[in-house]
Amino acid sequence: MSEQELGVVLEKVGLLEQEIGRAMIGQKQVIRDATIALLAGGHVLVEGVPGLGKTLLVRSLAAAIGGAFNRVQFTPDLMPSDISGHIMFDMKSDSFRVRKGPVFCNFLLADEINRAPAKAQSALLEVMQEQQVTIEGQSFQLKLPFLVLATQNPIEQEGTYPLPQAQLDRFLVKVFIDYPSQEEEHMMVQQVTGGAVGDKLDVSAVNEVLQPEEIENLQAYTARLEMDEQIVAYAVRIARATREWSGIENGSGPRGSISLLRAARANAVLEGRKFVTPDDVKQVALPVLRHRVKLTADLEIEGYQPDDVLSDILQNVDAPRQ
Amino acid sequence: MEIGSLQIALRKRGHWEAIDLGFTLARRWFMPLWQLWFMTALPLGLLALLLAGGEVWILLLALWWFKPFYEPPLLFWMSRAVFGEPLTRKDVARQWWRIVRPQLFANLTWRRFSPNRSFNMPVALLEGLRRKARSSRISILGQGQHAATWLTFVGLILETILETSMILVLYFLIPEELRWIDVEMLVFAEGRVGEWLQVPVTLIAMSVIAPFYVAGGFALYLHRRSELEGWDIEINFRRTAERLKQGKQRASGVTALVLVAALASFSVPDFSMAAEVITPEKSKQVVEEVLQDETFGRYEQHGYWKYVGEEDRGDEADTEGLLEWLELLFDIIGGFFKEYAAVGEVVLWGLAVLVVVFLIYKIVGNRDWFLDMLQGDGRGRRSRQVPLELFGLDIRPDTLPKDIAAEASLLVRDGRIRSALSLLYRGALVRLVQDHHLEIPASATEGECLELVRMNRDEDEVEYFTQLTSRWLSMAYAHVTPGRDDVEMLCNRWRMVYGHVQG
Repeated sequence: MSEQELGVVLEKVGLLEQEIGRAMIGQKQVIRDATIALLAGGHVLVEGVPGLGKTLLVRSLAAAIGGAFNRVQFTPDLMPSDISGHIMFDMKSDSFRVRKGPVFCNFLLADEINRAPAKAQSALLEVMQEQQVTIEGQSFQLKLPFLVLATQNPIEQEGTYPLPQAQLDRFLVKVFIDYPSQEEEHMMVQQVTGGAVGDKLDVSAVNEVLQPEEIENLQAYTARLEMDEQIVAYAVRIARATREWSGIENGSGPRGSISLLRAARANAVLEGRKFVTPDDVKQVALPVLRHRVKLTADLEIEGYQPDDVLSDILQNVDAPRQ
Repeated sequence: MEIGSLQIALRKRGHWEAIDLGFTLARRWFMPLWQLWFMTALPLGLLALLLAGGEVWILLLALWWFKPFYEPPLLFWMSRAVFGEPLTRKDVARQWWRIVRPQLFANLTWRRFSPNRSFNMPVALLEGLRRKARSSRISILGQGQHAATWLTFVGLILETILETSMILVLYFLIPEELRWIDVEMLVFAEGRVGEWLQVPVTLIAMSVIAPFYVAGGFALYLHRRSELEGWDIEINFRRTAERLKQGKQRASGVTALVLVAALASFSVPDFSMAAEVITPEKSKQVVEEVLQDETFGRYEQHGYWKYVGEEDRGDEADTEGLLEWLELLFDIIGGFFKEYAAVGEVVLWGLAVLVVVFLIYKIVGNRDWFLDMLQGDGRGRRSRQVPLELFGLDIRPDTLPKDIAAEASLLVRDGRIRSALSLLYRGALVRLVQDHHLEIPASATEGECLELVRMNRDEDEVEYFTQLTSRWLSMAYAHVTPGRDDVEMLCNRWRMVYGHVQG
């Protein structure tokens, strides 16, 4: 991709958030975090009660990029093959043929991921990590870009299978999706009910601004973005501080620092900069680290959230020295 | 003061028992003693706070050093209370200078390190003895008195334990998840809250220990005088005489009265005056007079066997040699210290002069602050600890050139663009922190500083600082050197935005 073409694509990135915002009213931070994950080639774990627009977010993203969108509702009886696909005997051709599962898409919504047992969860997590699917010993590469947006409901914990720490680590960011403000909800209700039958999600207002191939180029560009040694050291300092901080039982591993830098690069691209600053690291620190730390039991009992402790850490870790 | 009105029961006691008696007195009169201690310590502590100019270690040292100021009022009050004449705090306050002044300079300098301070204090304060009279009195009173040294030593340790405990208790009362600092940093890190926490904690620890320390020393002193001068015997005889006076056996009481009269001649009638120093010859004469009485006129002879032959010296020879050698060694060491005592005095004088010079230097150094205080404009101007470094940039005003913009322009002409930008950015931060009192934490990124400027400063400054930050970020993190003209422009505008040249 030439410099000029890249310039055009970078301009379009600016439009991406704007286009998603046409369908999804409010939730700017959620849109920003999902876009960061997209550019950094990571995946998003969304936590929020049902009915806040998680599906709409993924569908809008797919519409703005022109990619394929699929959704899997995770249930206790879900099998790995229901996600990845399986081999079936075709009576017509008298042979076995591969029936690809919903994972073969660009944007996958794994709804209520914690409702399925570990076997089904780990099938998806393998796909997320390797970006390939193995069916009956045969490997299939997924079409890129590939982004998983998994959701979990924080209030109904009965009969769920919480994701283990090691699996949570595979998500680049964890986003909290909260109720919209009064004005946002008003606009949303108006938009959804305006001449529509039922409450079907409408993404027709979203224009396609980028092609999946352009996203691939953008991801490559993001990965090569200029980063000073001091920024790397800053990210490492933050990640290491989570391991030594009072109130945190298990801190973030090295994958936390790596993810911080990946997300910081994507943030810099979205800010229209060609280099990463300490602010980029600080801005992405909460979504990148909040699911990688485990608070001590007493803090959890007292109702503290990882964000409270991480904010303390960010206030105490010195900014880079130049 | 009448010895008969003593509020304590005098009898033969061990040293430790005497100290225990002192502790009982301190417990009984703790509140008045504690208040008297604060009456002196608080004003002096505040004065030290002003003079220390924010240096906590100086403040703590001063609080400790001034102990000879706080203790005499306690002793004075106790010396009256023990004879059943407790004074009011107002009385003590009125006489404060008269109580504290005697030999104050000596108490604050070479005598400050005397481990027998609590025991020697009554000699100067209550008996009013000076120089040779004081030394000879102390040498008589102090014979075999090691308990006072131990009292100081144990008091010092208890004070330290109390202080540390209080800091730790306060620290452990902070819920674990809200602790922003570990114990080590709390106690040892400079400029932290722990350092300032030490001041009230030290003050409280000293105030709690002081009444016990002074009372312990005073009780030792009383005990020693009663031992030397037979106060307990006198009191008992007086009581016997009183009883006999009222009783029927007058005849047998005559002897006792005679004895009382004889003993009273070497007792101390007035406590506030110097006790009469009885020479050994005179006391021998008095004792002989008393012993001539029939009551004591009986001699007994006892016989016993004693081996007078040659002793087997075999193994003992070596031990004796060792003992002799040790004796010689101690003589040499003792002689050495004796020789150097004069040198030590000179060193102490030198130290005292240095302390005075240092105090004057600090006062001169902080004259602006004092002037602000006098003009009533000192409200919190320096109450806040301003950061000395941000992002590794030294932002102390004295590390910057007087004309920052001119210096930066010079650097640009030399082709040192990075240094010029760094200087401009550093200069802007110094102005924001020192002149505009912006709170910029060490964890603040350049973007957060910009946000602070946006919230607190006017449009022109925001616009300039945005440009400066943007160039600085590109230089620092993208390694993109901005054009000379661009930086020259920033230098010129720096002068307009951040104004005056520092003189």
